[in-house]
Amino acid sequence: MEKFSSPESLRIWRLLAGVSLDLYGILLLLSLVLPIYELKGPIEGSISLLRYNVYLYGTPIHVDALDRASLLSIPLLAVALASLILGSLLILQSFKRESKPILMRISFALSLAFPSVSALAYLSRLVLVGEAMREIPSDLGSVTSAGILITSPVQIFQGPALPLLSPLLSIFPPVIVMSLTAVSAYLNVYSFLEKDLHGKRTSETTVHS
Amino acid sequence: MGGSGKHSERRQLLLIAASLFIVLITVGPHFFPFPLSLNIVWGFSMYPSLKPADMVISASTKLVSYSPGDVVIYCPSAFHCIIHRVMSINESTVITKGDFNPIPDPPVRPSEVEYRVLLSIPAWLWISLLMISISLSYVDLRNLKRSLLSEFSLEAFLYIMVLLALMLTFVLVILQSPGRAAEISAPQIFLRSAVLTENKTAVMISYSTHNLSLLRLLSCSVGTSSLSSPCEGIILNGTSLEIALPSDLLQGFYMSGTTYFLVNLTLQTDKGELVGSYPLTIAWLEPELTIENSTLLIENRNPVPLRIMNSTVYYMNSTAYYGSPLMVEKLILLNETMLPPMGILRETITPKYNYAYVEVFYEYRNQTVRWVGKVQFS
Repeated sequence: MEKFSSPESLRIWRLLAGVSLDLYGILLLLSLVLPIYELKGPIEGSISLLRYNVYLYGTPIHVDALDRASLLSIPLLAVALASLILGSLLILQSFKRESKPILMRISFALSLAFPSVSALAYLSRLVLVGEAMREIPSDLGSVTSAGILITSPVQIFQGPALPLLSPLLSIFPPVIVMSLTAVSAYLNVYSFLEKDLHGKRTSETTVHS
Repeated sequence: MGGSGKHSERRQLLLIAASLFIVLITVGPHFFPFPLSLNIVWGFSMYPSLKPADMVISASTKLVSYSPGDVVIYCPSAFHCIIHRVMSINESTVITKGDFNPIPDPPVRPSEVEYRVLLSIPAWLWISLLMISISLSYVDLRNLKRSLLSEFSLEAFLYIMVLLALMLTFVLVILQSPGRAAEISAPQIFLRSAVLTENKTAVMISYSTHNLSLLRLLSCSVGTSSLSSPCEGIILNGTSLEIALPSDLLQGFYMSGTTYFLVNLTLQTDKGELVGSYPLTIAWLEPELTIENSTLLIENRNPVPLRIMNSTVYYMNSTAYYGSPLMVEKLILLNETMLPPMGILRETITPKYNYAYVEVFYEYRNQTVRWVGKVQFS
């Protein structure tokens, strides 16, 4: 245990936690900002969780499910930004060889919410973006009394955010970050407190003796 | 330390009592009569008055009365209750309806209405209060700063606050918003009419369009399976199209007695191509021959030329031969003539003697037809 709580080891744990927080923040940010689907043809544009631009023959169209996905992404964006800021501060701290336990504790508290955040992002993609994709027709042609209207098909391409919002990436990264920050928080904060308590007890014993 | 311990115990007891009370008024009314009931709304039937996840506190109808306009609760089964507004009450039935529903519910007996809603608490409010209460249960309110910074209290507080933000967004954006279908205005085109013009020499096709414009005709043919021809003289005017029928094709239809044909076309629109096939009928009419005021009128009512082979006038004198009619003169009125499509021919018959017969031979659909008319002079 002492080997783990040596100042150098604590610094490395802090650095690891900071890097993992930054990576998770970037991952979450990219999954919110990058397109999940790209559309070409009569309906064109791109759809990401945070925003969408979909045009029907050049006229922007509103998709309620995507509007709701955008609103739902706002707290996720806040968490991503907070993760990036806290991660960067932890990295900076470890390079400066400083130790502010409060930062580590806030990071740990935030990382506890990461599984919920990732699950919400994944469910938004699955339910809301899925609903929107079902509403967007792949063929605008029709058969009416006038005959058969043949239009060029709507081509749907998978965007870079789709793999980022997969179940696997929604489970493992947040759990890894949470574990790293938990260990780091324990070693940096609670071992320090224990040490502090131990120091107090020792000084008390010295005074009594 | 002793005071703090007592305070903590009191708080714990208070929390347990509050939790028990909430459980009692939530679950209790489903099993036995209870003066108060606490329910969570689920569904959009009372939208926007009550939204999913809103909490309603209601009192038993044994304690409070209700009237039309009040929101009441009745339970068809132990765990399925309906929260709707009262529309009308009479001695034996109560009619309720959800604000968002188009039609009222089936009537219920007054005894089945169990609770009247007294208060509704929006989801964001009760969820926030609940989460804040849970997070504050970790801290000593009398020594807030020190307690908040103690081991795990800060972490728990922050974690619950993040969860609260996520949960509130989820509730407000997903749970409480009835989804709307995407506003996708797809191009549409319908046939308004496809008819022959009055002179039967062209076809008028008219469309009604939405979010679509006609640009040009890519291909067009008119005819039947055995007799067809490309379209001629196409005029595209907005959403209408005029296609002239080739005279050779009309002649072919006329001679073969074809009355049904198709217009097949491919139109270029700004949103794609329209492939249409429109059936049309053409009625072939016999020429109309009449005599008006010593004038022979021949009207060609078809869009093809009419061949008049000849016409002869036979002048008659009724007293010429002991009272019996007798032809006294024969005159050629017309030699072979082609009457143009839909044309009218007028030929004056010179009055002579008492009366005359006019004989006309013309060709109608490969057959020679003889027509005779009488003209009376004086």
